[in-house]
Amino acid sequence: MKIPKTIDELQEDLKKKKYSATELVRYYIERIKKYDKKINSFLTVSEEYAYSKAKAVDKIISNNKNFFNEFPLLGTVVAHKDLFLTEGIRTTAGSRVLSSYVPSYSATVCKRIEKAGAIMIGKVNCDAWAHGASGENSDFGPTKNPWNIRFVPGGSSSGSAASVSSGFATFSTGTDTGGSIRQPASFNNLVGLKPTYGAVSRYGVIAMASSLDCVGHLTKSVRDSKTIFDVVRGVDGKDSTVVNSKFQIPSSKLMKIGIPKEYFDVGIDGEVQKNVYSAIDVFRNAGYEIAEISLPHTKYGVATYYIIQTAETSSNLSRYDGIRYGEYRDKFGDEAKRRIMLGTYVLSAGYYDAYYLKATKVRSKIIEDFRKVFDLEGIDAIIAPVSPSPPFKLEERTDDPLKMYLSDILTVNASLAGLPSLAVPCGFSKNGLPIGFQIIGPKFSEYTLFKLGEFYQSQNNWINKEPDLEE
Amino acid sequence: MVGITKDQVKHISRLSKLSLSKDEVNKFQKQLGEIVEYVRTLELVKLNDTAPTSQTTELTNVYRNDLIGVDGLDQKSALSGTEEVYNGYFKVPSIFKKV
Repeated sequence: MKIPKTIDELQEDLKKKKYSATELVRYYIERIKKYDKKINSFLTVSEEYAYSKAKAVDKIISNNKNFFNEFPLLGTVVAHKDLFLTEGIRTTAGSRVLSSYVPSYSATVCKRIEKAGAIMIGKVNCDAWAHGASGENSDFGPTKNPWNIRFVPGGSSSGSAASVSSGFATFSTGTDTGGSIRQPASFNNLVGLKPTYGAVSRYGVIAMASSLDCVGHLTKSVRDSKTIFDVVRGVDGKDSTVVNSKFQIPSSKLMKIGIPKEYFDVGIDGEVQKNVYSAIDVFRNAGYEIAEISLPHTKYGVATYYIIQTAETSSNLSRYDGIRYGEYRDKFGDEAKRRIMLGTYVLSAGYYDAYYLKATKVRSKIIEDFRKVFDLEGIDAIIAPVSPSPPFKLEERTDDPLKMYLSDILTVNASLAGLPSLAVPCGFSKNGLPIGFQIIGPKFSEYTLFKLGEFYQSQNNWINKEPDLEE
Repeated sequence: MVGITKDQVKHISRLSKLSLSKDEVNKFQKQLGEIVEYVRTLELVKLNDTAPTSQTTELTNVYRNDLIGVDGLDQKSALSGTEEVYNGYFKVPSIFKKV
């Protein structure tokens, strides 16, 4: 059984009865059973649930082939990051604090994806509370990179990336507070979308840093990313930051792309630099105007982010008291403890002005940098690397939290400014590890990012490369 | 080196309702100290009269109609996460000592 990589092809196969949704689910379940011991991407496989949904999907397909128009995700199989509440199915946030928590309601995004016809196959591993850039902070063991199991898959949406890359699901959901979708996507040859802050509801998604948290997804193609975005976006009445915005209509002319010099000044690995420059050349050769731009406050992003994010985290995690659900606070792992304490420190009497207030002002400077290039310099989108290095080795950065934090240096700035960013694969390092670039745009310019991403993806075959799980 | 003192670590762990072992206090003193030292690089940014940003939506006062939601949790679902229930209430650890 050959499983196609994209939603369109998969639905075409279902229409032509090459296989049924039930057979598709069985295929994924068998792969998970065979290979996931090695990868550790799933925390819960909802086998029974998936088969019952598949049966329902098969019934819909046999009754009317045009149902794909009404259910844009019909027959696709989704893995949810274990930060998304799923009614009746355990949700842990990757933490022992919630090791036996079974939610009594589902996240808006999970409901919308299900209503669009997707089949949930299970819940995937992540850094506990989405704190991390490697997947190694999960209390349920690290997820391994399917392209080479001695390397990290990135984080915090580690299982979301590894599961789709391994062929255990059609797509996955993730959350991105400072890079947690984009970085693991680019470490796994996947497309990862961090939408505009306020484009997608966070209702029912365990909160980390509320002025930064965004809900997105990981797919193999840019086109699939767009299909899913159309399903999940928009007001649900339960997250007051969400608006039904007028999305920017992509320009029909060749756009002007900005290359921020500061993103290449931070000690970028040579292979990453080379691959991202080649990607930029693809746009240049197609006639896009490429301009060097400056975002002068880029280097302050990580410091700003680790003040604001930990401050908000310390507040959000204060609700875990072990009384209404979950275990007591002694079950928090080291990284959660560090972030809670750092956040408490920067908010505490005598330090608030020097740290938290200052960081919120630097945040304004970072926003201003972006506004200048988009509004005054006529830049339509920015292209930059996602991570300063290709995937790194397991345990390489676990003893040095600051070094781990600096892994976020190229992703936190778009988060602080609330901007959308799309990570797109652009090849491999010499030792076969995936590398990606990101396209950052003004607020609500998702469809411009998709247009650029789709064009780039049409110019190469990276999507057809697969990791060898037998190795 | 400004860093952070052991007493500060103990103080913020109390504020955070986290109890730390002696080893943890030592470990976190070093790690948090390094991070605090790093984030102080923000002192180099010229801010003058820059206004702070606490959120990026540009929205203020988002209201909903004051109606009772139809999809709220019933008592049984609200209590489903704990075994410590008494007469339909959450049972909590006592905070007063018996005298």
